[in-house]
Amino acid sequence: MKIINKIINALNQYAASLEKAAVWQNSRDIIGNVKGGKDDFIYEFYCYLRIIKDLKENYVIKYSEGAGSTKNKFPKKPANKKGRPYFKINKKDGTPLYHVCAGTKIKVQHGNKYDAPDISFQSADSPEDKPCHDHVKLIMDAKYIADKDGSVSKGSYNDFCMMIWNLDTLDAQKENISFNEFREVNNNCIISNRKAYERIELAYIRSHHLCEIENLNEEDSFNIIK
Amino acid sequence: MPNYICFYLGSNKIRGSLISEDELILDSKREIGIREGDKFITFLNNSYNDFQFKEYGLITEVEFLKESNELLKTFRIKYKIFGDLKENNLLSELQYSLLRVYNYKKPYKHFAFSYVYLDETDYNTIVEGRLFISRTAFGKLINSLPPLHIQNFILTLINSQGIHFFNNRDYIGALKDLKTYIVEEIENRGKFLISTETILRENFSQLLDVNEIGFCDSEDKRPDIIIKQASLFRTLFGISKEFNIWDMIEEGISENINEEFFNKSFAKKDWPINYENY
Repeated sequence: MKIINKIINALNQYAASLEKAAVWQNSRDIIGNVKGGKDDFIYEFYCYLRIIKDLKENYVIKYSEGAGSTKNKFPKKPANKKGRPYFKINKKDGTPLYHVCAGTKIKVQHGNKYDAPDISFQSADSPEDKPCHDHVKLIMDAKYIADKDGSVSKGSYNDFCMMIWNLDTLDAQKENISFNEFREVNNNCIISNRKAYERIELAYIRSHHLCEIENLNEEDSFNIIK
Repeated sequence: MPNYICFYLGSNKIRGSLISEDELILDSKREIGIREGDKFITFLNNSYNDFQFKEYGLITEVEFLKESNELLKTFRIKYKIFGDLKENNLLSELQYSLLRVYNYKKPYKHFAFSYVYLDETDYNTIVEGRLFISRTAFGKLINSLPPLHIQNFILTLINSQGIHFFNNRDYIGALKDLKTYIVEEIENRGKFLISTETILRENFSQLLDVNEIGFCDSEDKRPDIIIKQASLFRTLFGISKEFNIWDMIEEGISENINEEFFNKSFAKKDWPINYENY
């Protein structure tokens, strides 16, 4: 077969497959960052599972199903805790420690607004219905950055600082959570598939009660900045 | 100068459509401009759900037969067939190499008349089966994307090419940007989806039903299942393992002797983007 015919065949195959993969088959939502829908939830959920998987080493993990049509469906954007699945983290002796939730709306300490961290460590007695800042102990945010040379933006960093303040997780460090592969993570955390927010002095990061995991993806080795 | 004509054999105005070896009967509401010495090709709907250019030849005689009523004139057109078109004769192959085509979703619409006059360049392109590889690759790939991605990519391209986006048609440059866009915006997300599925299977299958795990925003939308979408990306990456589409395109462009000619011919033509979905 001539090279030209090979290319046409290859193009037809690749284009047809790309066309299918680029759209969620059931909801018809578009994969990617487009107007009307930013599906960073793919990366956010990946990070959520990496964290839960890591906790399996030192704790006992239980899956808590949601209810109805969202029994096993995680939210794409901020959602109520009620009716959504999450994981319960217990000590090895069975003592309940945390509910680790994805994208749960949590009422802030001042005012009636809510924030919804991508990953929230809530106390074991945190209610299904409308948890508030009292119940949240440590938060994490996942930032998917498409550009291979990109890094967490100042805006994202500042938003997360604000969330820590709003949800009053300034003492997250005291939780002393025993991670395994992420053992150096001992605080609220910004996770990214690319570079962390500038490589600024550690004192600056520490003053904001957070740490950062950069390059958390399948190709590179991640790096923890704290 | 001869005319270049394309007869559509699926048209109901052509009777006895080339079944006879050397003539066809054509009904027309108007006088026809087809003359002895004109060159022609035939176009039909083939059995593979595609359209095909079939034969090429020369008009030897045009005869007015009758006027059946006030509306319809009947002509007998005699011709000589030179042969079958064999190489790259499918419309799906040729559509981005033809000046006439701008409806990339339904390109047959440009030919679905009893006959159309073709530009000499298009006639030669079809008869010789020539392809404009860079434009074909760009068109096929960009038009496989959902409309909102096309919109985003156009903005990316304007950002990258600046004012040249409006004046020039740099398909090789545009393909480079398109590759980056597809990899960063779609494929890399797909990789995370596959990794997520792997983590679920390897670490959580005792705790939950991996086949059920997915995403859902609201009650009125059908929920998305991770393993289903991950499998579509596995297919896509499976294809990429068989061959690297971007390397193939590059090789094809460098080996295509017609690329420069096409670049000149299409210099004033719009980007081959399907705007029909908007």
